[in-house]
Amino acid sequence: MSSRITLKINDQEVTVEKGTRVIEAAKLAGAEIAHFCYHPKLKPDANCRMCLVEIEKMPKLQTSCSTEVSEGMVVQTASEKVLDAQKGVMAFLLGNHPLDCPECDQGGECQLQDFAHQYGAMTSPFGETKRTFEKTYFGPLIEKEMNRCVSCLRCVRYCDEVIGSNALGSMNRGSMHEVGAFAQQELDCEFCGGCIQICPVGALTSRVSMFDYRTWQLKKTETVCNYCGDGCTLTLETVDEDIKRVSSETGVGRNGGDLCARGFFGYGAVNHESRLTRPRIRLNNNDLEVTWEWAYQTVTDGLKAAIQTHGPKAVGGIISAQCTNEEIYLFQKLMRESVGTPHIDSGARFGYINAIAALTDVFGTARLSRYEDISEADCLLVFAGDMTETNPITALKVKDAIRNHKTKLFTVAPYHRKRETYISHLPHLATQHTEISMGSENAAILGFTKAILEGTPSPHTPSDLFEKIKFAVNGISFDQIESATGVSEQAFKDIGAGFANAERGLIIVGRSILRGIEGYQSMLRLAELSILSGQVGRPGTGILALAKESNAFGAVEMGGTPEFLPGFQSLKKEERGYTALEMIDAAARGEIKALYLVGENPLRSLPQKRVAEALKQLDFLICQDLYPTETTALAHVVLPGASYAEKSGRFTNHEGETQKIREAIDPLGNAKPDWQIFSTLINKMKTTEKVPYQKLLGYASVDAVWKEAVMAMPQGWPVLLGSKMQESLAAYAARANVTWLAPEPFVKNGAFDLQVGQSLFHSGKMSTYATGLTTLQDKMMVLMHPEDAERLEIEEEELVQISVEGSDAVIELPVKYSKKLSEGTLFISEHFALEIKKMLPFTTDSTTGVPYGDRGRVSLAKVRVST
Amino acid sequence: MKYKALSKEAVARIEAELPKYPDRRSLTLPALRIAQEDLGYVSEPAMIDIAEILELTPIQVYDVATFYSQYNMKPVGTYLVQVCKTLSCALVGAASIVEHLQKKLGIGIGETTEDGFFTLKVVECLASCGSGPMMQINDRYYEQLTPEKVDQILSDLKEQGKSALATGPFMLPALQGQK
Repeated sequence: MSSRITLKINDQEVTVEKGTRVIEAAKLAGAEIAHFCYHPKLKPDANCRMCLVEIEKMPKLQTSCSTEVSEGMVVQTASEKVLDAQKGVMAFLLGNHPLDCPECDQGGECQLQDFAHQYGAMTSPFGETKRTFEKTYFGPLIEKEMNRCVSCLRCVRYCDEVIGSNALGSMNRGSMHEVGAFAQQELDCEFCGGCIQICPVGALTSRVSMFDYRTWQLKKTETVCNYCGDGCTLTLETVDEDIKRVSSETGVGRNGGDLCARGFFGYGAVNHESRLTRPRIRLNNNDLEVTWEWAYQTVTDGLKAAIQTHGPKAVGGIISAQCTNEEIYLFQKLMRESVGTPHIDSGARFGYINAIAALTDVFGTARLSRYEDISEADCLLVFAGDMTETNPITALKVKDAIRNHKTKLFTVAPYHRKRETYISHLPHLATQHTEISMGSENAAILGFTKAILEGTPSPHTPSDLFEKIKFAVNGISFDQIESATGVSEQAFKDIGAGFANAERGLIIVGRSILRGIEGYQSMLRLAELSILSGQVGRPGTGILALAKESNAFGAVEMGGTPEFLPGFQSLKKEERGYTALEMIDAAARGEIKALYLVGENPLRSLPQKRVAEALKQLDFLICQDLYPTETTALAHVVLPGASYAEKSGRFTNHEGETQKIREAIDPLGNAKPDWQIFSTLINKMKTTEKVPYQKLLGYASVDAVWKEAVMAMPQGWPVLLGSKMQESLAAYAARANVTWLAPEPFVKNGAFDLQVGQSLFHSGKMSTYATGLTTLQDKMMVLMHPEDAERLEIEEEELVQISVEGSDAVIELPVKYSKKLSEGTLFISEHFALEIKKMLPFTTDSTTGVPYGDRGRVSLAKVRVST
Repeated sequence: MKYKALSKEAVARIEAELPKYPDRRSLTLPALRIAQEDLGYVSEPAMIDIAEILELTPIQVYDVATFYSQYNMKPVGTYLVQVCKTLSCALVGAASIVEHLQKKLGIGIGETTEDGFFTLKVVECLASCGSGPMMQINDRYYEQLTPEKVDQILSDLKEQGKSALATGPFMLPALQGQK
C-alpha cells in the first residue's frame, strides 16, 4: 500500500505523504509560498488568497493551502500568472495597511513586511483615504490594532480549533471587517497568548512588553517552563539581562509550541524587584549582607556544629520540586553523604509522591504514559476536572484527542459539565461527565472497580490480585456508593464498560486525588483499576498523574524524598528519614536542630502555627530562595538562589520526560545557581585542616552532575515499563493488601463544600511576582455557582464571610460567579493570602505523610452593611 | 429566570427548530431571526440567550449577527424602510427617493424618527430589478416609487398601519395587466 505521492513543483520532483497540502509539499521542494491564513496547526481556510499557485490541467489558480497533492500533479509556484495574482492580493492587503512599521512590535518578524518585500509593488493602485480603526485594547494584556489586520482569522481559528476557549470572533465584513470579543468588550479568556503568537502581522501584540524592544535585538534561549509539570518548551527572548518576552516555536517541544497564560505572560517573576540578590546572615540579631565566602562558612560551621552536638540526624533538608534534577541530586548528596542524615524531602511531598510511590510499587516504574499515548488512546478516564487550570497543555492534548482522534472522554470530578463563558473545561467536552460529590473521588474509583469486576474484567489480571479485589469489594453495594458519590449504578457500569472494553484506555489523575484524603491508597486502587481493565502496558494505555511542579517527577527520581535513593531505589521503612512535616514536628520536639530549606516556605505550605512553633526551636535555619518569605525572615542564613531562567539543568515532567533548561540571563545581583551552591557546600563539608577547600574540585558543569546522578542509579536511566512489568505486577499481586471500606454517605446540610485549588493564571506563589499574571488576577476571590448566589442574594464582587465549623475565625472575600462549580460548592485559589487554609481541617496520608488541608465544609454569609 | 432578554415564546420557537438541524450551531441564523421578531432587533442580552440555548459562546453568535445586514443590531422604528441602492434602482432614481424620504421624515440614513415610527436604511439589491426604484418596509415591497407614492405610503402606514400600495414580496401585482 503506497501512501506516498509524487508530484512536480517548479520542475522539481518531490514525494510526500498522501493528504499533504501543496503549500507543505512546496516547502519540502524548497519553494516557500507566500501565505497569511495558512498555519500548520490550523485547518485550511483559504481566506487570504495569497498562496495561489498554478496547477496543470486546472483552469484557475488554486489556493495551495487547501489543495491536497495528487499523483502526477504539476505545480508552478512562481509563474508570471501566479506572481501577478499574488501582487494583486498584496495590493489589496496593503490598501488599508498603515505605514506604522517603525513603531510596530511585529516589525522585523512580520509576514506582511516579508511578503511585501518579495511581492509588493512600489506604488499602490488605491488613491482613496485608508479606512482607520481606533486602537483598542483586547483586554488587559493584549493590544488590538485593527488597521494592521489582514483578516486571515488565524487568531479566531487558533482560539477555536486548538485552545477551545472560543473567545474570539470575526465581525462585520468587507473593509470594515475586524476580529474581536463579544460586543467589543474586553477579552475575558484563558489568555494563552496564542492569538498574539499566531498573528502574522502586528494586529495583536502584547501590552506587557509594548515598545520594549525591536525584534532583531532579541537573544533567544530555548528552555523549559517552570510553572507546572507539563514540561513545555518555550523561548526566553532577552535584551542584555532583561527578559522581554516569551515565544514558542510551532511544533517544538512536548507542547508542540502551545503555551498557557503562565508560560506566555509569567516571565516577569524572574527580574522582580523583591528578589533576593545577596547572601545574608543573622549575627547577634543583626541582619548582615555578606560575601558568599562568609555565607558558605556560616552554613558549614552551623551544620558541623549541629552534627557534632546532636549527631547528623539532627539535620534535615527540604528542597523545592521546581529545582533541577542536578540540584536535587546534589542536595540529597549533601544531606545524605556530607551531613549523613536520612532526613531529606522535597516539594513532591505535597501530593506527587502519592503517584510515584504507588505506581512504582505496582509497576516498578512511574513512567507509564506519555502525551503520545493520549492521542493514541480510544478512551480517556480523567479524574481531573480542573485540568485546564492545573495543567493547561496536557488539557490541550486531551482536547486534541477528542477533536482529531475521535477519542472518548469520560470525566469524573466534583464539577458541573457547564463551562465559564470563555474558559474551556474538560467536563464540558466529555463524551460523558460524571459529577460527583466533593471528596468522593475514592468512592467513584470503587464504583468503577466494582462495575468492571462485575462486567468484563481483563483475563490478564493476575488471579490472586483479582481475588483480592473481589474480596475487598464484596459486601459493598452500589447503593452505598451512590449515597457517597451521587452517581448511579448504571453510570458506573456504562463508563466502566466503555473504558474496559476500549481498545486502548488511559487514566489521567489530578490533584483532587493526589492531594485528596489517602491519595496513596487511591492511586493503588486506580492502578488496580487499570490492571483490571487491561489498560496498561500497551501504547495508548496506562496512568498519567499530573504534576503541579515542574520537576516533581525528577525530585523523586533524583532521591529528593526520604523513601527513595536516586533512581527510585526504595529504602526499607527503618532506613527512611522524615517527611517534611515529620521534620517540622521533630524540630518542635528538639530532635532536629538544623534545617536547610531550598525554595520551600513551610509557613505557607504546612499548618502555620505548628511550623512557627517548630522553627523557633531550631538552632540553625538556612533558607535558600528567590524571594523573601515568612520563613526567610526567621533564617540564620539566607542564600539567594537562581530562577529557571538563570541556570542550566534538567527538569523531568510528569510523563517522565527529562528536558534541558538553559541559562538565558545571568543570575540577578549576586544570586547563584543552586547547584553551584550545593557543589561548593559539599566540598566545604569535606574540608579538614589536612584537605583545604581550595584543593577540592567542584563540578565543572551541570552535565557533570547529571552524569554522576545517572551513574548512581543501579537500574540505569530511565526505567521504562518493559519486560519487567509482569514480574513487578506478579510481586505486587502477591503482596497487595487490597482494602475497600464502605464509603460514607454524603450528607448535605445546607453548608458549602469548599475546595482550595489552583487558578489558571497562577502557580504557587512565584507567579504572583509576574505583573502579566497579577494583571489577570491579583486577589483572592471565592467562586460560587450563580444559582447559589441568587438564592442568597449575593451579587458578584460582593463581600461574603466564610467560616469553618468548629473554628471562630472568619474571613471576608469578594464573590465571583462560576458556572462550572457544582451547586453547594465553593472554590478559592491558593496563591494569595492563606487565612482560609489555616481554618480548614488538616490531616496527613497514613502511608506517605502527604499533607491534606485543601477541603472543608464551611458556611457562607453576606456581610451586613451597616447603614 | 434563565434567559435575560428573549420571551418564553421565542425560546420555545427556537427550541422547536432544533430537530431540523444537524447540530445546535446550525441554528444560529433562525435563532437570530426569531430574536429579531421577538424584540424588533438583536440585542446583546438576546445574543447571550441564544448562545446559552445553542451551547455556544456569545461571540460565536455575535460573529454571525454582524455579518448579515438583515439583522438589526440597534432598535428600529415600527416601520423599517429599506431602500435599494443597487444599480438597477440607482439608474431609475433611487437616490432621489432616498433624498425625499430623508426630507419627509427629517432623519438621516440609519436614523429613526422621534415618534419611533420610521427607521430609514439603504440596502443592496432586493431582487426587484425590473420595478425600481423600490423599497421594502418590514416584510412588504413597494415598487416603481415616485415621491408622491412615497408620501402616500408613509401616511397610510402611520394612519392605518398598512398601505394598499404594497406589492410583493414575490409577485409584482402592480405590474400585472400593464402589458
